[in-house]
Amino acid sequence: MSVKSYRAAIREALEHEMQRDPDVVLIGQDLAGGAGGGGEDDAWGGPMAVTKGLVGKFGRERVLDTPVSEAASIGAAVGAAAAGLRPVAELMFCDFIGVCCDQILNQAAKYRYTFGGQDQVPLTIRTTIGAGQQLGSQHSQALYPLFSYFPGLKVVVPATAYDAKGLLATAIRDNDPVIFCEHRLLYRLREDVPDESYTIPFGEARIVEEGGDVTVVALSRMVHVAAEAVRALREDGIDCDLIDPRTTTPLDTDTIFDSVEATGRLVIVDEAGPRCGTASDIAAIVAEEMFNALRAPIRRVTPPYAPVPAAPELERSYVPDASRIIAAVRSVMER
Amino acid sequence: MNEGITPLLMPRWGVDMTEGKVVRWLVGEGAAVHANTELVEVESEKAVAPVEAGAESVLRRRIAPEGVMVPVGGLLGVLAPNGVADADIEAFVQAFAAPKQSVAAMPTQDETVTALGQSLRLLSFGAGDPPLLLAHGFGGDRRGWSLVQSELARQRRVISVDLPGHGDSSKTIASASPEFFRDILLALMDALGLARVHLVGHSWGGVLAMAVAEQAPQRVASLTLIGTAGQETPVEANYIRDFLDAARRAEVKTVLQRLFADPAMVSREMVEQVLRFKRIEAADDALRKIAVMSHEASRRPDPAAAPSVPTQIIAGREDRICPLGENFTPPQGVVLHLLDRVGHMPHLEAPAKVASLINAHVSAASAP
Repeated sequence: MSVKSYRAAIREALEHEMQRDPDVVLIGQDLAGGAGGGGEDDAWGGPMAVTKGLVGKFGRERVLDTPVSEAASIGAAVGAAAAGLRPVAELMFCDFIGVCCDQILNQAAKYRYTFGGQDQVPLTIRTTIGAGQQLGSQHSQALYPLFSYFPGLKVVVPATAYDAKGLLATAIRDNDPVIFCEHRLLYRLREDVPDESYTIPFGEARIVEEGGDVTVVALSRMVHVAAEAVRALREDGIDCDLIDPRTTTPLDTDTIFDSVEATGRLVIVDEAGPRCGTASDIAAIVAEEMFNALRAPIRRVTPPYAPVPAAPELERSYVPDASRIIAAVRSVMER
Repeated sequence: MNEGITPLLMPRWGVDMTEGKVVRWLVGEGAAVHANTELVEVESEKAVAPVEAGAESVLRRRIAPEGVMVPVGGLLGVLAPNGVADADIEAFVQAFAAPKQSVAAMPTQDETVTALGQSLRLLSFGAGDPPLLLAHGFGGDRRGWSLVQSELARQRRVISVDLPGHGDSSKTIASASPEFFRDILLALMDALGLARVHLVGHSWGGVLAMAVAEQAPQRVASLTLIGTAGQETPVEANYIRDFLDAARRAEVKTVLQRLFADPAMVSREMVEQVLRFKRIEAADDALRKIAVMSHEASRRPDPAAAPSVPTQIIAGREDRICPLGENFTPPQGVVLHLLDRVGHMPHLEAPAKVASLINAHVSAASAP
């Protein structure tokens, strides 16, 4: 056990899985560094510096640089997976999915189904999500609801270093395509993480806090913002259950239902937008299945229905903060 | 003049506890109390539990009012027989000062030692040798002793160790046999330069402690066995199988609840801690090997066999994992303490009682 960052925990999972299975290869931009020119080996470790050091350990045969074409690199990864390898592709920003939608949404996601379960695509796509760095509307979105729309994909949104390591190992070993969404503002988050290899099953939410008055469901970085709100509310005598689903597909509805059964009140905090998002999805499922348990309307705390602004002041007011979560919890307590 | 006056102090449950809240008094001033009469309910960050009297006496004063925070070692009340004059009790209260060596100030040390090629993580607490050496049960770790460790450390050094395959020690184990773990404990003593220890073992750790006492009785000053049955019971085998197979939170919770007389003792944190441990692949592998070896071991040392070292057995009357059986009678010289409303985890279910039993046993064994 030692203190590791979210970034280091992800790197360790990649390293352990590459040691464990020779079919695991990394595919992406700048992962190896220096390819095709006079550049320095391992200069970057990928655009987010997550894979730093791995080319030295596993060589260029297993850490592959690609041209700056997501259509080509993600396409190659899907093909490699269908052909028997177990690739981990890196998609620098989830926002870039636009140029490789067919490869992911029509090919990888539907391959097993199309061939009647006779074939599979054991692919993991690591990508980054989230606002907060003034990267503008094309580099700041949280698009995991888009991936969750498509049957055939599994979707992971880890909030902590511990979860990131164990869930990435599970993702790589999974025989279906998994979209692993890393929040860029979490890379420097540090906590105790075991040095050994471990896995966390998909579809098991983490119960972050137990309170009993209100159920708060939050995803990815919003788990930390919600935790801040829950602590402040506790000072005022309102005790919340805080649930982090950890994977949006599969979704651990049992844990959410158990909590709502007891509290009768639900607030969902999502950095994705208010339309067709994860918050809407969870709200619909709970309204359908648990209507009689509800004592107040379900409240969603999301950004407004607008592109992510680049101006720092605007971006700050766009992303949900603790005060908005506190207000939402108070409003359901009044009922 | 202080003859028979006993201060009732804020206990320390866990290494992190520095103060506790007096929730409510359960007994009025002037009430006669037995050793295990629950006097006052105390709340720490981790638990709400009663503090017991510890000996037969009379509760003469309730010092700490309900609702207040009291530092560890602070005065909650005063016990004294009716023969003691009020004036003497008043004088005692006036003269009372928190002990110079407050438990909070005791040296604690988290260290890693290598024994038989395995890296062992241990926690040392307090001072004074020969120390107490605490061996946890199957699937446990050194943190499981946190509710008793500080009370034990008032009298001497206390060392709790993560056995190989567990906690923060090596997960890849060189062997899974009881003999190997016995030798690990002896090698740990060598590595720490300890000629003798007072040995405490819980469950599987108790089996190992018996094996150490059998192999090297001269190195064991006293032996305390907690929740340790002589022979593997079918219930125990089922428990171990279910513990190994429990993969999800709800399953782990249900399995752990079998350990306790009161299932509500199983907290979310406990479940999370066990899940995190079990999900480490090397740990799971080690546990499965230990379970097989332990099952196949032709013979366990028998706690009912005449002991070569001073031995006591502490067991919960509601232990469903290693029940001692209705006909169990300890041999000459072995003291059996059967605790009411306690299951397989006395050191978590009745920590104050277990700590005082161990302290008393160790003191008796240390007497010239």
